[in-house]
Amino acid sequence: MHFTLHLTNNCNMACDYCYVDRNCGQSMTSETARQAVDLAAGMTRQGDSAGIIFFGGEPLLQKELIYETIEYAKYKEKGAGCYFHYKVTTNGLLIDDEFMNYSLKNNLFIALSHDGVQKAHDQHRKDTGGKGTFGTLIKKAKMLLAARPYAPVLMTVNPDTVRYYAESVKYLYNLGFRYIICSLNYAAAWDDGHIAQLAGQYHLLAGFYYRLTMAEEKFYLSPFEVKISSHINRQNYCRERCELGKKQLSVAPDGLLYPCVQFVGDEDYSIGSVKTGIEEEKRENLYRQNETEKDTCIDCAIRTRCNHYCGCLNKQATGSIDRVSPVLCAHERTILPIADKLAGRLYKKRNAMFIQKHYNEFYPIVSMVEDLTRG
Amino acid sequence: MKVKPIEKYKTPTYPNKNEALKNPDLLKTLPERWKGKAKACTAVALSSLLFMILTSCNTDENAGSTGSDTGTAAPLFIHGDGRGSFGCESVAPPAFLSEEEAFSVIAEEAQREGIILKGEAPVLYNVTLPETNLYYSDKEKNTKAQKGDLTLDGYDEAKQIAFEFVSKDDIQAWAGQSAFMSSVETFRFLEAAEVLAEGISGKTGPMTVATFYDPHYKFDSEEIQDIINSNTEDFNIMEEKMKELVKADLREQVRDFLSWLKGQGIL
Repeated sequence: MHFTLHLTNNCNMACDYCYVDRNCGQSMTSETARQAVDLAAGMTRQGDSAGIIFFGGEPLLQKELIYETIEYAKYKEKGAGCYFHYKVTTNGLLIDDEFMNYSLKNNLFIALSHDGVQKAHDQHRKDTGGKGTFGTLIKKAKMLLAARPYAPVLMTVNPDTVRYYAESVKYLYNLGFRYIICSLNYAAAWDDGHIAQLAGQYHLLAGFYYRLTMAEEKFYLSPFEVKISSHINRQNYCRERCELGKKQLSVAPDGLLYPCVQFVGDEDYSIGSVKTGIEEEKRENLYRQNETEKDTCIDCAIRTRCNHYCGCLNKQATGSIDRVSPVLCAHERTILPIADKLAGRLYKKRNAMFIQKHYNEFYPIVSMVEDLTRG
Repeated sequence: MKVKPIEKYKTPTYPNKNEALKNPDLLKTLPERWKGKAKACTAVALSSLLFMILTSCNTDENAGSTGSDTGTAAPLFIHGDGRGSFGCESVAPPAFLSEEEAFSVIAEEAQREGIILKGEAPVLYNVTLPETNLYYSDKEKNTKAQKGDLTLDGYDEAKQIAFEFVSKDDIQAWAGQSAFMSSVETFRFLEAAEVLAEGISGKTGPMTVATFYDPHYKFDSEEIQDIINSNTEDFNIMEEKMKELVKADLREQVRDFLSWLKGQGIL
């Protein structure tokens, strides 16, 4: 279970695709953060582990609150007998040596939002004065990677930046990122021309993926990994689908609980609060509503491998968890055959890196051991 | 834009995890960068083993043959030369058995012993297959080995008995690169079957798998010459007689296999 604490709605950037309501300007209090940790400890069985994720707005605007919350969570671990792991998703601008040292000392994992090459990144990721943040971010990204070489980078693709998709992934890879997680801004105004461009970019990326894998490079590039996994791990893939509010909870700055980050602030979807706990009936109803197969997809041949079941994405893109985004549908139809062809080629070659990465459940451990023995 | 369901989607050419598990050797394929690293390799070996143990409990209704890993590859039963050619060497029409003709003969014989063979059969992943050479060579052995997947030709799920028939189509599909070409294509069925029977040994999971081959005779063999000399005017009769000859040999291969199954206590 993951508990995402939305520390603040404030941000030092003004990305035009951000779904957070910056106007409310609310930040979480220490008391609410502690109550969220209490709730997490209470919901985690003895000996089990739970994630505490710091999110925003920009969570590094609340560094002190992060430090306080982790200190409190460590104290709670002892009493509750459970374990917490920590992660923050940041735009990176406030990363500094002090914060990096803190993150290393306290095992605070850092994920960076970065949209790739300058012409893509600066198109949407701007500071509050309207200036692109690419230039400032280079130094910060290098600082992050020097301390945390496995740091993931989250890249958002928009219709007006889709033509830079492959170039941006390669840029981030060359910068040193090895965990590159890309997703579309499904809420944007995509048209058929953009989807055709997307297909072209995925073909380029498939070639990039193929060459890296043949050269036995280690990396993670989503959505390719996810789509390949949807065939290889088909049973587990179905089980790991979006389970609104069951695998993760979002805690809003005011302490209200939501099933995922996209719902925060929409009180119709609130499923409790840190003070009163989860309203099980509301959570269960939402879960069941989301579990019901959508009429539009019931006869689709790829529905078991598609993200249409993700209520959070549907909410973000269409405003309703029941209504599947046509953009998401076009994306899945585009990437699936490209990913399958790529995987088929690598399997046919009996590429050892591909086989280990996708068929060996212990690949992450083995890979880590290999890194530790590298020298 | 609208949501557009897809009516049909082709099954990917790479296996899912349950299918891959049928080939325990798959995870022994190690990246070069891991080799020579004692700790990493130990971890790989342990993880692979753990993987096998943990996932062997997995039940999947689509997994086909599962269960105890007690199958085996049957030895090769030799009836017929298993050699043929097509091109200027052949003045008589070659009588290669098609996959369908062979299936019909094999299924008919097997049915006498209660084995009901169906055409939908499992795949053996990452086994040693023959790498054939279609062009003439005076080498005694002209078939090498290569890694690949083998979709078996027939299967009795209840009895866990399956077979592969090495046909002309197979020999062509398994052909490797050749340094030269000629107008004659040669088919070394027996050689290929030998490589295959050895290549699937120990990798058949719970199934007992037989390898049969096209018994086709060499052009200068006594059997072929007898047919040619007695039917010089009618190529159709020649072909018919040659087919009868090779079908009879294939039946003998199957009968030997059935006797072997009884001897092994499998039937």
